[in-house]
Amino acid sequence: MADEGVDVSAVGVPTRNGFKNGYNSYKNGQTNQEAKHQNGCSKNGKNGLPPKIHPKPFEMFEQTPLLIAVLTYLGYGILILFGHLHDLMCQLGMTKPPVATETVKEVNLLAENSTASIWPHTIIWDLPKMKAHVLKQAKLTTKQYGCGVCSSRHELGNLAIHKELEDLLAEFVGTEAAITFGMGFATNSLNMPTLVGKGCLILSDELNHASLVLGSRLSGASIRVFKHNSMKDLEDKLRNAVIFGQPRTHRPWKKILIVVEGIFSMEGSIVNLPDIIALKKKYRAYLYLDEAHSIGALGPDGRGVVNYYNCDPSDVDVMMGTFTKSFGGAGGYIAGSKKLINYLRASSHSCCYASSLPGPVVAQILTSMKIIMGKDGTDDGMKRICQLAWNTRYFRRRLHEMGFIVYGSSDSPVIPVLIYCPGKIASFSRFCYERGLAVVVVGFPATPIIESRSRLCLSAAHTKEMLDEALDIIQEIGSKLTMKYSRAPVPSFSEMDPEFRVRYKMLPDTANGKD
Amino acid sequence: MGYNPMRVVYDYFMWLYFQYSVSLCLPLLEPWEIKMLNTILVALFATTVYTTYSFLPPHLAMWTRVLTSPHDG
Ligand SMILES: Cc1ncc(COP(=O)(O)O)c(C=O)c1O
Repeated sequence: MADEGVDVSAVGVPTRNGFKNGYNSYKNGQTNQEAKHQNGCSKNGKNGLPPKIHPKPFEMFEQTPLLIAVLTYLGYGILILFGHLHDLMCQLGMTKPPVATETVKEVNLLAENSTASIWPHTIIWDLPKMKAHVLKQAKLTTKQYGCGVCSSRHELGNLAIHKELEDLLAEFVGTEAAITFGMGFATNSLNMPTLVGKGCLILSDELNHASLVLGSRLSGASIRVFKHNSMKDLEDKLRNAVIFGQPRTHRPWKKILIVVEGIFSMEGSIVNLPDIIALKKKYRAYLYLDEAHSIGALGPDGRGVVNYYNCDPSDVDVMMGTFTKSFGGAGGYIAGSKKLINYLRASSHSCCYASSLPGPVVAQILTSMKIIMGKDGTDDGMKRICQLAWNTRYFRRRLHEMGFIVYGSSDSPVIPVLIYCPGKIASFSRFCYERGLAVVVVGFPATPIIESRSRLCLSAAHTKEMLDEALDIIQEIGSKLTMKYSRAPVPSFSEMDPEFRVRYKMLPDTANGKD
Repeated sequence: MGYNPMRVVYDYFMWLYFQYSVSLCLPLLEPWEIKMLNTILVALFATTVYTTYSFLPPHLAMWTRVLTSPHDG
């Protein structure tokens, strides 16, 4: 049986791309990398360019300290006990059920305060500044196309501006074609059933977004979950799937689809794309990559994880992403080969039954995408991409140095800071808010019980001054709540690394950046 | 500001109480619930201390006797 597996792998290894060679030359490839960058990122596999260099981001997931874990369980125990007591007293009429009267007030305040908040996601737009330009564009489009489309792509909802967006998008992500949908969540959950079905196998990362989970379940395919970013586990599951086939009948699977995200939104980790592509080729599986958080935010050209790892976009079969984050719009897309896109266009539920993207939204996405690509004639987009990359490294390094447990990869702008105890979660949020910093904290059902965290998301609109202000507040409150649990040595990455500076050309001037 | 040792001690205890309260989620409870939980915990702690104080020495003495005397069952 094992021999069979080896056979399959031998057949499946394509030698054309020289993946192994590129990987081995990682150490001595600095100069090649520079040469590569002048050629732009798209289609780098086809022009016989220098071997590929995949950056290796630093990544760490420190274990929960034992004492903290015990205290956390104890805290939840106390909360549950008092919760039940409360319910009992409400039923007996001794107290009134709690009424959330203050919430509305707080929400208003948060919105007003948002200059100092670090929530506005990985959006790389400085909204007040951008507004004039983008709004003008959107206004023009509204006049031309109206507010809504009121029809689906198959009927009257197919506008010229959609075609323009899809062409630009295909160029942006470096694929043959692309298709857009009205909602990111629905892009996942309605298109996965179109691609796979009964008799197919989905190998899904354990931390995949709810939309991917829903899509997988709707498709009716068998689902196996592999450990987060664990290539070993993925390879084991792939090998077993190839060797043993479907349960009971042992027929081979019709398709095997590996489903991963670019940046995992709760963990802040970046998918190990080069290794997944190698595995995918070895076992002849398909790859579905959700770039919701990474598109527009990662990579030297802002074109997502594929760009970040210097991989060939044609190696990823289905590239999915949303416009909700970096492009400040709404909707989702799928990019891939022409065949795939045509198939989706004809048979996807969201093309047939859901109304298409409204014109003004498309105009907004087009404008922001052109800025990122530098097609507006300025280097504004490149500056933003580099600012975001710099912000990420700087913020992460400072947090590590302060002694917080920070999850994820050194280049991911989603930064989870571990808090653990439920009492500290509430206090962290309240204290930060009192000092003018709105933070988002995430607790149990969204994370494992003993891994509650605060999720900080950086944006290119943040300047060093803002980040320093935020870091001061976090430092002060972190000490007050004794949140600095980290026992691991401080990692050595920084925003001054030469390798990093080579990749990002227009980093903000940091001659005075040393603190 | 003069250096006041009482103040330092007081601050230290306040800090301890604060750590205790955030670790056990007291900020999420109602005031009366906090009082109740504190009372229960103090009562538990006091009972433990009292029983330890009153029962442990005789108990230990007994066991030393049992283990050290050669002709005892
Ligand atoms: C990984 C991932 N996929 C899909 C979505 C859904 O995108 P949208 O908000 O555009 O519906 C999200 C949203 O948070 C996401 O994180």
